[in-house]
Amino acid sequence: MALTAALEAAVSGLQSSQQGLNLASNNITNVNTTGYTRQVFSQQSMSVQGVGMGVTVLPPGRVVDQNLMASIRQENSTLNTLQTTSDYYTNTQNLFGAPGSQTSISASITALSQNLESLALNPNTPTSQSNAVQSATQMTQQLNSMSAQIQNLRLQSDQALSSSVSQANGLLAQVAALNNKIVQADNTGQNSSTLEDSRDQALQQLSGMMDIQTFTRSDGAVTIYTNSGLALVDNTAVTLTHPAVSAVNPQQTLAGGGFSGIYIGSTDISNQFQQGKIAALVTQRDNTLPNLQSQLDQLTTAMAAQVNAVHNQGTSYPALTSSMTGTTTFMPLPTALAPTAQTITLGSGDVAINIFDKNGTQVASTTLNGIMMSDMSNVGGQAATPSLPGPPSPLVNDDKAQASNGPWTLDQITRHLQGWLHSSATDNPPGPGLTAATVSLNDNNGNFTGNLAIDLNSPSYGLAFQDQAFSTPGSAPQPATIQFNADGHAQPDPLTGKPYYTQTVQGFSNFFGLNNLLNTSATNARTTWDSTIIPNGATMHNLGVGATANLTFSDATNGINIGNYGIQVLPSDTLSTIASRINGDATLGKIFQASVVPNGGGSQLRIQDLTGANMMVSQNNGTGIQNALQMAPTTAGASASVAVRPDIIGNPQLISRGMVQYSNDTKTYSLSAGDNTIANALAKTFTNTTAFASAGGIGNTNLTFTDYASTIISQNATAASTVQQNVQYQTGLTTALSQKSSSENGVNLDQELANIMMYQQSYAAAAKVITTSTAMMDTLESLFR
Amino acid sequence: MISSATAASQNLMVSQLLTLHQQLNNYQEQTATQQVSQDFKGIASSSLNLLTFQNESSMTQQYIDNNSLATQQLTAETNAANNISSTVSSLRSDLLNFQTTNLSTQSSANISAISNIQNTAFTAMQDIASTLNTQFMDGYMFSGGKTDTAPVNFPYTSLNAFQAVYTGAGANFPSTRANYLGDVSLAPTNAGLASQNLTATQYGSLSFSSVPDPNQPPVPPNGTITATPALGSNNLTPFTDVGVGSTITISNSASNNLTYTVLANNGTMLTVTPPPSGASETGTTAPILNMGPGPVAAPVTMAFNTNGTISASTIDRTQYSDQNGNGLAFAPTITVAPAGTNCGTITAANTNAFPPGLRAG
Repeated sequence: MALTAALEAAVSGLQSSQQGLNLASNNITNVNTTGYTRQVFSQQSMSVQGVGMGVTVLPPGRVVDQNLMASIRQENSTLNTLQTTSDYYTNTQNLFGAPGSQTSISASITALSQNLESLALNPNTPTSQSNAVQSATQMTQQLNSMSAQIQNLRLQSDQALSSSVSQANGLLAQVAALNNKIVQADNTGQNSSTLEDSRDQALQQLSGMMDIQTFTRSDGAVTIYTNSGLALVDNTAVTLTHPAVSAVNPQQTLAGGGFSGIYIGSTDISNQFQQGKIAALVTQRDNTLPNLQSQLDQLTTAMAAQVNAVHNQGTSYPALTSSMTGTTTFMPLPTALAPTAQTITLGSGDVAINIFDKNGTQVASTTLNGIMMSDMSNVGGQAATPSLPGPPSPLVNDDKAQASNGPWTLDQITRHLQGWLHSSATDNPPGPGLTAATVSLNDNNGNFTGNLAIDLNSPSYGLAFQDQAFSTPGSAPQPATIQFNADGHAQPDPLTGKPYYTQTVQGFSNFFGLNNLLNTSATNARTTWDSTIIPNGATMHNLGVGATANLTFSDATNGINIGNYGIQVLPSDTLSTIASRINGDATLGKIFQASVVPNGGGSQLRIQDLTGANMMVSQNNGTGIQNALQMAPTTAGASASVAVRPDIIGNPQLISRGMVQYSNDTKTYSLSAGDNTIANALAKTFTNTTAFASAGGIGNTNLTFTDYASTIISQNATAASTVQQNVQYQTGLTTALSQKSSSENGVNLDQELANIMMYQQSYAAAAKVITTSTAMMDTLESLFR
Repeated sequence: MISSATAASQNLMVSQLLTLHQQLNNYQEQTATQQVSQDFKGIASSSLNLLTFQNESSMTQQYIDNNSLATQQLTAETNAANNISSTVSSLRSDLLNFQTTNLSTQSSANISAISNIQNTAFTAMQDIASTLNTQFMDGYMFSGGKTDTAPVNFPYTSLNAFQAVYTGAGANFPSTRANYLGDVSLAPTNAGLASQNLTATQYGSLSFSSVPDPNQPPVPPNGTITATPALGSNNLTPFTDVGVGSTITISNSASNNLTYTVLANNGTMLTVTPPPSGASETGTTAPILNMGPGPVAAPVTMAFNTNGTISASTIDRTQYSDQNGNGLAFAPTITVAPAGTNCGTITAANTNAFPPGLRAG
């Protein structure tokens, strides 16, 4: 019996050594397999009634440090966040060109500045005019291109988000499926190590997508939660959805419904993730890239405002301006509100209106206040000319003498200006007698456009507006203050006691945008209004609002002051509550969409007209809310739309260089070809500092245009560099953790080779036992022969 | 053959090799391009400085270029000024030489000397006009803002043509700002004044003198008519409404009944041509001084053309003032037609006679 037992024990030893060799072989074979966890051979002695009966092999074990794995997954999430961010920064860095090539936006602005300096030196040389216009065009095209690329990156990030969400769904489903198989294998005593390896790999990949927490249940299944505790895989996997958009524009935001969230069913979980590729993509799409866009928009808006304010004061003689079309779009005015709404008051100064001939000699001259105070009802053919049909609704007495310095409605201004242009030299005030001239807010077909259009219909004459300190001819040139009451609310500001105006603009031509150099969407269309950037969560009270007041809303389709009193704003309101109140209003909610949009470290209240109509936000009583919110037509996308005025691109001679000059000898105004007053002033706007409002993380600052552009580049470069350094650090950290894990979990060839030798020895010994037992059995057998 | 015991350590080595390779590539690129980085990220901490320096450098270069051009223009202006200065100096020395010439005898040498100095002066004038019309960068250098308009219009190519207009007797070439040729709007000062007679009630007593007014040119010959208002008279300047250039008619006098042309008027004394015979006349037989009615014409705008012509060929007389209230400076070339109106009628005897000269800047 004992000999048989020894034989059986030896056989079990042979089998055990074979299995050990098999395991070692498997470990060695998988030495380079990613995610393979070393399997550990273990065996147990068998005995029956205290007598050894050989050895039995236990199922192979996995050497896994779960805590270490959790750390690796956490760091992997961070690494993926940084890597994705770094990739996008690398792309945005490409927008600025190579440092040595001088192709950055900063260099383009400098080039424009240089060409304006040249223009100031040679104002009437076609080359310098064309160079200035060309460099301005090049700069605007670069801004357009940068903006387009930023929006393209946002589109890419949204599409990458969609693909990452699909990938995450695949991994979640994979983990759920593996969970089932592992539980089944464990229950049937099968080896589940490979399945667990696969699951660990899926979790590792998932951690790159999002920051997750995992828990292993007693049956071997793993549950996955977001860091905030939302279950992603429990018994089954959830399905995340994120339909990508097909195009992105600068005004498109998640808050405004421009992007889809990441949904489980109908729950948006976009803000559940702080780490991982998905979180990084959301941040790029909704924060980092919009911030860069906002900085470019701020640069564009400030530049356009400064340059246009100067350019509007200028003239392009010897090229005469016989027609002008304003860029500022006004809303139609219901008769009921005339003449209180959409009126203009001269806050200071007056505007000399001059007609010149081809020699630059004055043909006729008057002032805005002068013509407004004159009766134009029977002068110079005005009566014979069709009046201005359609909105803004004319009043019967619009062409009669009006009050000094206003307020005047737009209709009154167009009628008086046209009346004066028609007046002859013998009328009072004497006019140029241009009886074919038209001044209107309508197009040629009589349809309301909302833009002031002046056409002398006589190319031999040119029109020039000259803002000056007083009405007397030759008074010092200085921008007239135009106060615009858009909504008809004329109550005084409770703080200053002065009348409150919706908008105060320096310069008559500048107010109407009659002679802009740079046009942007913000100067043309006003379909979206933004507040200034406000700290997140700040209440109106925090912003200095002491009393409840009403914000009123108007648009071109629904008229001025829709619903009369708009919505109430309380001192305790935040931007979110104001937005909710607008969206929840039975009337306004159908016309406008309000959202709170992140910008830099704060947020803006954005109100969009859902029909795309020209709109306006104003305050019904007092000025507190408007002072706090500073609602104004949005500047978002200004850099995408900025362009040099098309007719100036076509004819660079139309760029303003000189201004109207007054001769004390002749007591007349004149234009001259060599005048470089405005060219000098234009050049100066590029060397003087300008006040930039806070945008995209750059605070309120006073810089030159080039320095602001350099700041944008430098800030982006610093952020990119920081992220790159973090990537390097995080890569090292993750690699070290992986190395530690691998050295514990991975296959060590030396160890396996030693094991093989051990298995070989034990196999040989067991075989010897069998040989010996066989010999002994033979001996025993011979005894019976 | 296996140099590392675990796949992990092998992977680590491979990744370290790759990192090293990347660094080598990076340094190779830096060496090849001689630039630290191909994007601003690589020089993040210096990027603002670099951009600022680049922009400053570009702007400085532009200022240098502009200054160089401005220097060229200033040099051209200096040369022109020097040219004018030397022309004037040369003319002055010629004039000084000419001053020493004894012109008491009519000799061919003296005639020649006069002719020479006239020619020299004319040539100098041509030189100066030409220099002032210097062009620089497609524009006239001395035209102020009106760079497309020549600053000087000196249309005469010969001395004879010049002297045909500027005789020196009544018409002198303008030399001051008063010759400003901007378009001038004129308004008659005595518009609508009725024809009236002045009698002793207004003028008190009249004295006639054939002694020429020392303040007037000797040609044409002139004398004076002086009013001495009576004591206590409330009109101490009875001739206020008599227009210079107009004609007055004296009647009922002892020996001075004639029509005179007024050359000057200070309110109490008229300088007239021809000269009166000279006497003082008062009393019941006091003479009557008749002056014609004031002009009825509306304000006239005279457009002075660049070729020296005038667009308004007929205007109503000299007591027009320009919009500055100044008398007209180009009177020498305007002749007064002897008409029976207070302010007469003036016509441009020769439309080409209006003097060219400096224009408005």
